[in-house]
Amino acid sequence: MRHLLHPTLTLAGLLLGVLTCASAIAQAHPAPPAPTSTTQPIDVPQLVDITASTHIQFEHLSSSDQKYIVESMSGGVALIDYDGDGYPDIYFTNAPSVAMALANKKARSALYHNNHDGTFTDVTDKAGVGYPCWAMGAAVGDFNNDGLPDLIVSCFGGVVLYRNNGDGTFTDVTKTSGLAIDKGWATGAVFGDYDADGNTDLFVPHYVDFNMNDLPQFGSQITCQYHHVPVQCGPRGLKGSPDALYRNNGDGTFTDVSKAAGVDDPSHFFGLGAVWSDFANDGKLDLFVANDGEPNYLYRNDGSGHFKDIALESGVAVSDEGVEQANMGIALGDYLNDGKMSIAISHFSEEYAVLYRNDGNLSFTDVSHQAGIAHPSVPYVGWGDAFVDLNNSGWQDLVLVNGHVYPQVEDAKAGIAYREPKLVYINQHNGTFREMSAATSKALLIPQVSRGLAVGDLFHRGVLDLVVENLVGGPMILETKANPSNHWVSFALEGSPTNRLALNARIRITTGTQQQLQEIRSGGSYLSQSDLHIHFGVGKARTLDKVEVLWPNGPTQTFTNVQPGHFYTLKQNGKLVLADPTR
Amino acid sequence: MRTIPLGVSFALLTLVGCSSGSGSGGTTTPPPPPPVAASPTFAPTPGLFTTGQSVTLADTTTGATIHYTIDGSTPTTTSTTYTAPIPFTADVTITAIAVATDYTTSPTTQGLYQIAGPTVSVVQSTHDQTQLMAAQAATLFTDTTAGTNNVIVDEAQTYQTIEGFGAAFTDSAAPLLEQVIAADPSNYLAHFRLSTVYRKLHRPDDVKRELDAYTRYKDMHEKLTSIYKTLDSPDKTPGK
Repeated sequence: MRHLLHPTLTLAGLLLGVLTCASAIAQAHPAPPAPTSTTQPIDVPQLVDITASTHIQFEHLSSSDQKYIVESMSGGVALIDYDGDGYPDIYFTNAPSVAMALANKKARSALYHNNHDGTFTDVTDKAGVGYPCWAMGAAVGDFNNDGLPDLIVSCFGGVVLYRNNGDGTFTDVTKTSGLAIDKGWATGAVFGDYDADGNTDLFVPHYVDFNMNDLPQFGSQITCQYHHVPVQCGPRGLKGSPDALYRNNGDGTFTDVSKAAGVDDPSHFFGLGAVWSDFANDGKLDLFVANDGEPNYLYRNDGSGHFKDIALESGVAVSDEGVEQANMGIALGDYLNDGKMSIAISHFSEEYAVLYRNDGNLSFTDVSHQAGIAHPSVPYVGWGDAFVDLNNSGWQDLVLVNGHVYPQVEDAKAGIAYREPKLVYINQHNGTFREMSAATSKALLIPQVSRGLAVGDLFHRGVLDLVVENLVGGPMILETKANPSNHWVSFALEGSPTNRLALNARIRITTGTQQQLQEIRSGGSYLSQSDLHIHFGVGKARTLDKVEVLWPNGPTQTFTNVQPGHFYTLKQNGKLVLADPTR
Repeated sequence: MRTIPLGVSFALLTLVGCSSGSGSGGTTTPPPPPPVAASPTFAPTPGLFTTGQSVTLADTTTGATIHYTIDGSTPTTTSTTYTAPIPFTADVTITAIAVATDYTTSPTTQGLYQIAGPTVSVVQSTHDQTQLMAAQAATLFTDTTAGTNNVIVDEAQTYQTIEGFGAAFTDSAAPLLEQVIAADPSNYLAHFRLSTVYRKLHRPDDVKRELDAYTRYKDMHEKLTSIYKTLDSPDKTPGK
């Protein structure tokens, strides 16, 4: 949230250049046509604020003046089906103020059980996950391959690993797992089996080397001012903290392999977010790390336990003007339906939310402006973000939640507010988006200080709902109302015999001439975790001609003539099983 | 509209097999049927030509008269009689028969003569970079709806003259940015943009060189900015 003081040729195709001067350029993405006229009707999904009826009473603590950067960064939210009933439950992280911490007061995070009827029940105390630490965010993984989703909580002061006991309770196994060696300001921790040994590993980006015994004084330096108004210091002007990769030893313990793997961040950039995904499509998990105000990392996995940062030459390190932005939340999605995962990242106000279009062959182009993403985001500080097909149209929309860092920002008289609205961009099916927040929901216009964003079909209605955690006050739960004539399908995957949560498994569906691609991932967004089900909207399609399940550690499974409107489960190498919920 | 197949296209030549007929002797055998006239031959051989040609028809049957059409229809004895080479400057299908006294009319011979579009140089790059702008055999664009992988050309729609397509703008951007950098080698943004152009042109070594320059000069700019800010700051405390 750093502010600025100012055939084998299948992928490539055969590229023909014509008339001797011409060169070969992969035209994988023709320039998108001009945005549709605003007078043309667009099928707009509706988002309804149902927070009050969910019985969720959680409130994130915050200090009124946010004098220290460590008070501004918490608020990740995780959807975790901890009890295996198929319905996502919700874990809200919480953090104290500096004053509270100095007085040894803790902030209570909360786990809410999904009652399947539109309501949730606070089960924090029974689950034993209320006071992990000075919590920032959370993510899901199955570190012990028992098929139960475990919870990693990132903290100002390391990480906490909760082992899911399968009986509604968790056990803090941070010490016994060896993860207690992590002492830094951990942010977007993510699980992924980078060495393909069947045991999910853990990457932990770290943010600022923040010293509670030497607190940077509010407004004290040039880096502690914003538009000439005194504000909290940092991250600029403070030291960064190196990142960490912990290899899962397969016996419940982890070993720090950061340096040997080449992902130890010797530059000490301000790491905030991370995602594992096979960007190279070579069967090995690569790693993208969003650094606040510094170049991003795109670590390519060489398959021998080592990574190489190729972000700059791939076009995802900086903006299209060669400028480092305040990279925070990460969204991956195949918004073009061309089989490639593009990257969207939220940024600070007076910057812009960036969309790096994946051109294939590890090459990306910043298309934020021509895609219609950049301009509406400029006034806001963006955090949680996600590609999500809100209308079951078969095309990925983009959601971005916002909220400034400085309560004092309104004193700057710069037209910038502390509480900010959320943004919904509707995919126009031509490589561009249209910002349609107001048409989608009045609730999105309610200014809040948002941080985390997670996506999931909360009550098995065949739509993807949004869960937003706010730094100040309660969360916002948004129920999605998609076009009822559009169809959908949902898949729950289970890897076997390892990777039971099927992390980084992908599903590609074909409906007529259209293909869609989605992936199950740990973490992402801003310090948040979306549901592990894969949900596709398929528009008017009445049949999925083909469903291909691409396992990261096994052969692809293909199913044909799958009917939409249902929930399916699939155990690796098994059969696709209809699993509609009983209500 | 022209439909142009990508890839080498050969002219269609349909040659119907000749049969000479045969009979067996016998005192009561009726007289043998008249022999079949030989089919006409075409010179040059039908195919693809870059310029107009004249087609000479010939026949080996003594006294034969050749009748032909140029619209693909089957010729008859009332069709045009061949008297001189047939010139063509556009695609034409010549179909001919030979007729001779005491002979049965010959089988039909047909030849497709095509005038190619401009010759195009072809280069090929592959994403595995085993080939980068590698010269390929020249290709002629032909005018036929046959085949697959067609490019449809609307000849009625014209735009400004442009050397090639696809990469032309990128090609143009590279020398312009190179000129900018020649004028100011410390322009790190120009280095960055040029690296982006080179990346699209699949020139990895040039990408690396420009990114190195971008990083080096950007770092220099930031250090200078920091120094200036320190000088301007009341407390003389430098930012990171």
